[in-house]
Amino acid sequence: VSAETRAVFADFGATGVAETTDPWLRAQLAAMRDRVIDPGGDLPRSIADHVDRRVHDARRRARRLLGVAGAGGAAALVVTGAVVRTRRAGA
Amino acid sequence: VFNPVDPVLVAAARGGDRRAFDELVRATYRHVYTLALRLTANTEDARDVTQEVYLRAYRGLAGFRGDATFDTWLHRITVNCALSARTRGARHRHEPLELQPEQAVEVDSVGERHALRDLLEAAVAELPPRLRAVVVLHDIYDLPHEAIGAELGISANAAKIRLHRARRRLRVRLDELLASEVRRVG
Repeated sequence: VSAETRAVFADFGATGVAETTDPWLRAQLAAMRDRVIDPGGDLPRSIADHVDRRVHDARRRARRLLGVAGAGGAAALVVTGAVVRTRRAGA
Repeated sequence: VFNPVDPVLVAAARGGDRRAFDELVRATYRHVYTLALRLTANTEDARDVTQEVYLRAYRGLAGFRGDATFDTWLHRITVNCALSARTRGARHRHEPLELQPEQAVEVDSVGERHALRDLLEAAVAELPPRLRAVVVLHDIYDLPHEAIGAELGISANAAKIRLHRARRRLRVRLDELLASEVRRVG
């Protein structure tokens, strides 16, 4: 740990955040907006898989419940929200 | 609230271009995940929320009229999903986000700034969920009290009061974390 780091901590330890550092705290919180956390790994791929799987399942449910055959009709059901309705109907 | 997204890409995705939608995901998922993580304080919940956000976005794209920008729209979906996950999380609790020792102190040229920032992230994560939400949405993402109240189903005044309590608890907790860190490195 650098001497500089020790000094920063010692400063805060001595003065206390609770009473003296509100502007500092607000500024630090605002700065957090620019800090983007990368989840790493395969999240974009798993998002695509998740969307594919859920949409596929929803289409199948919609076809089964409403008797609509064919991918085009089922896709229309998905985008018009029929999937939500079929789920509420317990499909 | 997130970084602006290319409207051409949004239009293409609205038109059913799956590659454009995938590109939208790649352009925005880190921001969505970060907001979800800050609201849920749990990495697994945040990953689940991120997936759910894009499923809702995919379903809702056809109805997206462009009254708000795409990034603002996506931000709202993320908040909604994360708050729903928080409610579910009360029933199915996982291990909360914890400050990892190796994250606490770094020794590079901007190490002290990073170390303090990590302590602050940890202190925010440790707030009770209802207090954490107002700090994240107001102090980090700069949403007005009215919008926060609408998201949380409370009045703007109630959001202000909650924020005041949250900041007080945050300062006290940060004080404790810093004192502990001073002892650790000192």
